[in-house]
Formats: sequence, structure tokens, C-alpha cells
Amino acid sequence: MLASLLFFSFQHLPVLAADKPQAAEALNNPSFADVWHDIKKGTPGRVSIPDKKAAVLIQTEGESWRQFRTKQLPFYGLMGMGGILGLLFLFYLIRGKIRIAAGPSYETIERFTFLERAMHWLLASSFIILALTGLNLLYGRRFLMPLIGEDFFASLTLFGKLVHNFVGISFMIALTWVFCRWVLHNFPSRGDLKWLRWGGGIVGGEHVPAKKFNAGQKIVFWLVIIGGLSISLSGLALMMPFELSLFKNTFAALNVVGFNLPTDLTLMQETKMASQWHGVIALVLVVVVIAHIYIGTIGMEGAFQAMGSGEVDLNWAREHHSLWVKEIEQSGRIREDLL
Amino acid sequence: MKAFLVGCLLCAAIAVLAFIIAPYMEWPSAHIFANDATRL
Repeated sequence: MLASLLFFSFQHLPVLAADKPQAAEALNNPSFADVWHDIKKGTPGRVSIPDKKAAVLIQTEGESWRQFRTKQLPFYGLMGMGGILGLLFLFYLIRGKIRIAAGPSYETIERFTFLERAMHWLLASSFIILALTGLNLLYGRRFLMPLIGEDFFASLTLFGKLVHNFVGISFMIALTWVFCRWVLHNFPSRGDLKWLRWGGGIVGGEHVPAKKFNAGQKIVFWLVIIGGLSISLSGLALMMPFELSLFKNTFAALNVVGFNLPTDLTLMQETKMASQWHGVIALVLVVVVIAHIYIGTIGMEGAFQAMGSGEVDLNWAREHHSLWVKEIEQSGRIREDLL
Repeated sequence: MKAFLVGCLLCAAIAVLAFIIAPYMEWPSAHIFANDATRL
């Protein structure tokens, strides 16, 4: 940047040092005005040093990025998180806790193995740490700093950023495992449309047959997998800023199927977009996971045991995943006295 | 809740392992500083 500044400055030094009429004349010189017009537009000049970003003297896009980062993103994030909490609260008031209609049978069947639960908790714990440290980066200065003071907030945020970087690796490993383990159960099946049409049993009040995962769980699965992949890639791009050209390549691929997205992105634009995209997807995932946590804990009787002990009540399983129970019965993996 | 504890411990163990090996791979923060130094 210094090199570019010197280049521009020395080029016009005689003009700037001249007396007033000459300076005024020089300012009216189209070439001089054009140069500054281009600089103010953020047009890149020429540099011979390795850092090609230095060719841009004024980062005009930096202001729009700052606006998005400090205004739109936190605002819509709060709206999203507040919205889902409000909706769930309303849902709880109207529907209450979803009980086991036939009552608990006190007989259980295994829903998830120990390894499956451990990997689910690996994904969950890493996500919660990432969410808290990430939300602190977005909202901490506004909401946390006034409570704990600037010095402690600075130390906490610095440590949180470090933790965020490395716990990201735990999240990526868990995400990969979860995808490989459950992808076969999460492909769309015929019953899914019916499940969605009846709102999973909310409309009509009757339970809709479902396999190991119902359509709602499949939607959460794919949102977590696609969102998780996207947030992991944009996170890697932020860990290695000005190195990866993920958006350029993604846009080029999307243009093949009819989109008209820009593919001449600079590394600065790539990093800004990675930062913005990372924030947007993070907030979407937080909203999805809040709903997931609700239905897996206080929203439904008997659901938490699936990831708690791994054993679920047989009546719960018959009501919410009847096709899965039938599959288990047919395969003979269920004790005869439970049939 | 043994699975929950194992999941949390795994999370911490992977993160610490990544932290230990990161400087050897110049990644992630070490990578950034190294790049800044060469670029400037």
C-alpha cells in the first residue's frame, strides 16, 4: 500500500508543489482527476511486491462490509434467534409438551449406539462452543463488554477466538462422521411428503408413520450437513485469509447451471465474502439448532433418552417412528417379549 | 451420560491436538503471520 501511495504521490509531486493557479489547472487535468477518481472507486493500480492487495489504495468495499458486519448481520441475527425462541415459546404455550399418547410402556429399545451418541455429543459440544465464541465476536462488544469491562472482555475474546479456531477442527471431524453414519437413513422416502403434509402429526393430531428419521429430522440433518460444510469451508478461508478462492470457484460452477455470478473476484473480495457468509450460515445454524434442542428436550416426552441413554420407550418409538420399529421387529433385533 | 462426557472430552482432545500440531503445519495463525511477514 505504501509503495502504491509513493507511486501516486511522486507522480504528481510537481503538481502539488506548484503555485495555486498551476495547481488549479492541474486539478482540472483529466488524467489527474481520473487517477483520483479510480483510487476512490477502489480500482487496483500496479504493484511489483508479492502482496497484490496493496494495489488498491482505498478499500471502498470495506465500508459496505463494515456496515453489513456491524449493522445488518447482528440485526437479522437477533431477529432470527428471537423469532425462533418466540415461536417455540408460543408453540409450547399452545401445544405443550408432546406426551407419549399411550403412556410410557417402561420397555425400551436401543435407538442409538454408544459411539453414535458420543459422536453426536462431539458435534453438539463443538457446535455450542463455536456458537458461543462466534456470537461473542458478533455481539460481545455491545452486550458483554459493558457487563464485564473492557480488559476482561478483550482477554476473553482473544482466548475465545483461539478456541474457535481449534474447536472448528473437532466440529469438522464430527460432521464428517455424522454424515457418513446417518446419510443412508436421511435420503427422502415416500412417507416424508405425508409427514410434512400433516406437520409431523401436529395437524390432525395423529402420529404419522416414519422410519428411523422422520422428514423433520431429515431436514435438520441436511441443513446441518450442508450448512456445516459451508461454514467449515468459509471458516478455513478465514483461517487462511487471502489464500483460497472458494467463491470464485463456487460461482463458476453455479454459472454452468444458468447463474450469472461474478468470477473475477480479488482475494480481498473473497475474504470479505467468506466473512459475511460464515456469519450468515452460523446464525442460520444457531436458529436451526435452537429448534432441534427444543424438540429433543422440553418439547417432547421421551425424545432426550435417544441421545441420553440410547434406549427409548417402546411406545414412544411406535408413535413417532412406527416404520423403524417394524423394521427392527422384522429383522429380529427386538426381544420377543416386547413384540 | 457417559456418551456426553466422551463427546466433550473428544472435542477438547481434538482441539488441543490441533493446537499442538498447528505450528508444525504453519496453520492456522502461524500460517497467517508467516504470510504477512513474507508479503510485507
